Amino acid sequence: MNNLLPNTKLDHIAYAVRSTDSAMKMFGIMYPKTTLYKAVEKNQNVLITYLSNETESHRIELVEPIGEDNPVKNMLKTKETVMYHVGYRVTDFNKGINILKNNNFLMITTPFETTIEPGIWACHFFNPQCGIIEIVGEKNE
Amino acid sequence: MNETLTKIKKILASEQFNITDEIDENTIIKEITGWDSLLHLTFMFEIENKFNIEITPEQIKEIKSISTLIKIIEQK
Repeated sequence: MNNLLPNTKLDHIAYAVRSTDSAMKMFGIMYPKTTLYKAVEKNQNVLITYLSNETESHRIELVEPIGEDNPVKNMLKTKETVMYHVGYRVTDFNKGINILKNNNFLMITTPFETTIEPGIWACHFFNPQCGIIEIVGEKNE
Repeated sequence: MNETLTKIKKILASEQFNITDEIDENTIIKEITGWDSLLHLTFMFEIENKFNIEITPEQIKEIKSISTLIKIIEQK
C-alpha cells in the first residue's frame, strides 16, 4: 500500500485527565521532563501539558478540561484518565486533511490554529479502526 | 414510519451497536442505555457511510436527538 502522507511522524500520545497534577505523578515515572505546563488551548477549552524523556522523540500530552464546552468532558464522566488520541505531525496540513477525509475518516473538529504553537494547525478525526487521531502541521499555502 | 427513522433504527439495532432501547424521534441520543462519546462517534461515522452524506464537526455537536439527526440527514 502506498504511503499517502509521507514523512508523517508520531508527535504525541494524548490522554484526557481530570487532574493534570495527579497524572503527572504517574506519567513522570517514564516521562519526567515537563516541556509545557497547563497551557490554555482556547480553541478546545482545555489545559495542555507536554511530558517528554531523553530517549523518545514523541511527547505525552495531558489534556485537562476547563469550562463546559470541551471535547473531553464526557470521556471523563466515569474515569480519572482516558487514552484520548494519537497525534501525528504532517508536512502539509491541508493535504493531510484531504487525504484523511477521502479515506473514510470522520472529521470531528473544525481545523484550528493552535494557541500553544502559533502557526501550527490541528484537526481531529475518527475512524472505528484507528480510534481518534489528530494531525498537526503547518499550512503550505 | 419515516424511512430515515427506520434506517437509523436498523443501524442502532445492528450487531455493531446492539441497542435494544425503544428508539423514536423524541429519543435523546446520550440517554440511550450504555451510550458514550466513542459510541457516538462510531454512530456518526455509520450515519455518514450508510446515508452517503458528510456530517460536519459542528453538526456532530448539534446532534443530540434523533429528530435533529433526521432533519440533518434529510437536508443533505
